Amino acid sequence: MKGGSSQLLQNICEDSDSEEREQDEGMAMARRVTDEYGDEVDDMREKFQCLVLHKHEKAKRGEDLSREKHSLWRQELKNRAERLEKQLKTRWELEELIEEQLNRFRAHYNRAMVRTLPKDVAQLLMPNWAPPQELASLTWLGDWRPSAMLDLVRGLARSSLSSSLLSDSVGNEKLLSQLIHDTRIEEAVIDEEMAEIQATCILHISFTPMSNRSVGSALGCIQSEFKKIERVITKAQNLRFKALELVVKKVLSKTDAAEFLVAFEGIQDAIHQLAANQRLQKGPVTVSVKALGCS
Amino acid sequence: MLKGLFTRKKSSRPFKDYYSDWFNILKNTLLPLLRCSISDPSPTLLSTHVEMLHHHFQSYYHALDLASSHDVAQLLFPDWRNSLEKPFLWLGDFHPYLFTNLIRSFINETDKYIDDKDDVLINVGGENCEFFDKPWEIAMAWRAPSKILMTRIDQVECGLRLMVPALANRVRKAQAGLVERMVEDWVWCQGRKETARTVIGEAVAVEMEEMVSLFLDANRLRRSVLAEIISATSVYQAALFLLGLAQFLVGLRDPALVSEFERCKTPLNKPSHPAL
Repeated sequence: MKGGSSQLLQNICEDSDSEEREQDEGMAMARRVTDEYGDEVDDMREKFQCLVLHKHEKAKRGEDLSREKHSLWRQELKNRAERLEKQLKTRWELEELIEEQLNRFRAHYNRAMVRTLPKDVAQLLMPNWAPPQELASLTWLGDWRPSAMLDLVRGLARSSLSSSLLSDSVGNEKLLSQLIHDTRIEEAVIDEEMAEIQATCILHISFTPMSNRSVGSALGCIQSEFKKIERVITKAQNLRFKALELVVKKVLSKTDAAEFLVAFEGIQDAIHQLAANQRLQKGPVTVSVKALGCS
Repeated sequence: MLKGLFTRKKSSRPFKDYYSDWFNILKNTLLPLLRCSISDPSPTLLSTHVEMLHHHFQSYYHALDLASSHDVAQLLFPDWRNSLEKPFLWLGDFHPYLFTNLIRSFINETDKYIDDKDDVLINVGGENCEFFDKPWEIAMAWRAPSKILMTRIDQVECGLRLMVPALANRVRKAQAGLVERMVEDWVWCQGRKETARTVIGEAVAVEMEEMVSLFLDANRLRRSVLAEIISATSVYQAALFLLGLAQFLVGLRDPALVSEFERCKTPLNKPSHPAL
């Protein structure tokens, strides 16, 4: 029995070599051993204490090491969590930035916010800040063509660099195609409305020098035609924002939306610079006198 | 570059100057001549003036075509047009429907004619104006338009209904094509603007070629509608038509009206939150 207990203690001691074992565990084991064998192990006590002390020293060294390892592990966990948190924050920031950008577009395209005078209409349709080539290459009724914005999204989705774009969902690709289809129809309807005004203006605005018309009465007719054009421009602006909002909020993920918004701005900027250079290089448009002949 | 500009100056001139001269001839010479000959009983003179005015319009479209090879974008968005004219421009000039609508207004309003040689109300540009002491032929020009004329106008309108949306569609497609090419370039350059600009430049050049072809087609449409109308109408009808057209063009550039228009402070909309 003694041999057994001694063997047990030895085992404990050997076990305590294992640095992985907690000190508490060793002590609990020693207490259990003492309770179990009572006085029979009294003579062993000294040896045991010795052993415990010995074990204690070993456990203390093991404790340091494991604590170090543990704290390292904890630190690593903490770092990773911090990184995750940072990523989350970036995502929230990204969401905020996208929302901000959308709000900018909302304000820009919101005609209801701005008081429009008759003379502003020409500026809305052919803005001075845009060189002619920029207007010719991308614009429709004075700003980006809504379906072209969506074509841009589709182009990005198809290009290899942004393989994540739309790839996660076949449904989204379908949604985008539907959106492009519908937007084109709405553009055509607005085109027709504008054509109707441009085609009938000659019937509504009259300049007949023989009658006693004042400038004021002609201005009245012009005002009413320009009101119609202003309404068409408003519809076009609403369609632009609708396309942009739908694609950013419903079709694209946050990252893809951000990628789209970056490309949207970047391409517009590139076109603008290019058109401005072109305008400088070409100078005012000319016509060949020789080809014109006598006229 | 400057040297290039000077050498070009000899053989070519700014379209803006051309247009200004063209407009002044219309306003100060051809329109008064036509007005004069409308009151003149000589049909030969009227016929000559109608032909001159028609030729003047045709030569303008010819000049637009010629200039388009230099820079079509400036012709599509002409800065020599005033803020009153610009909103009425479709692919750089009047909408071809404008010509057919003007001729329709003569045809449809025939009921309003008063059968009185000395006090005739004629509809020009949608408004009645009075022609006193006009030759009977002018007064009666639109009294009973011929079946042949009606059929021709129907045909022209029918053709326009097919071709105008097709042109609008081509513009959209050209722009969509540019976007497609640009995105490829953009992705290829991985968003580096400087590099992207060079490649995008090539894509824009391709699109501008298509815009030239579109602009030429739009002008061809305008030219042919004009020519159809002149050939289908009698000299008196044509005279009234061209008078209406020229008066509209000149009216939109009337300095008094334009300055009044520029100063107009009546808003077109009621803003919900007026901008400060």
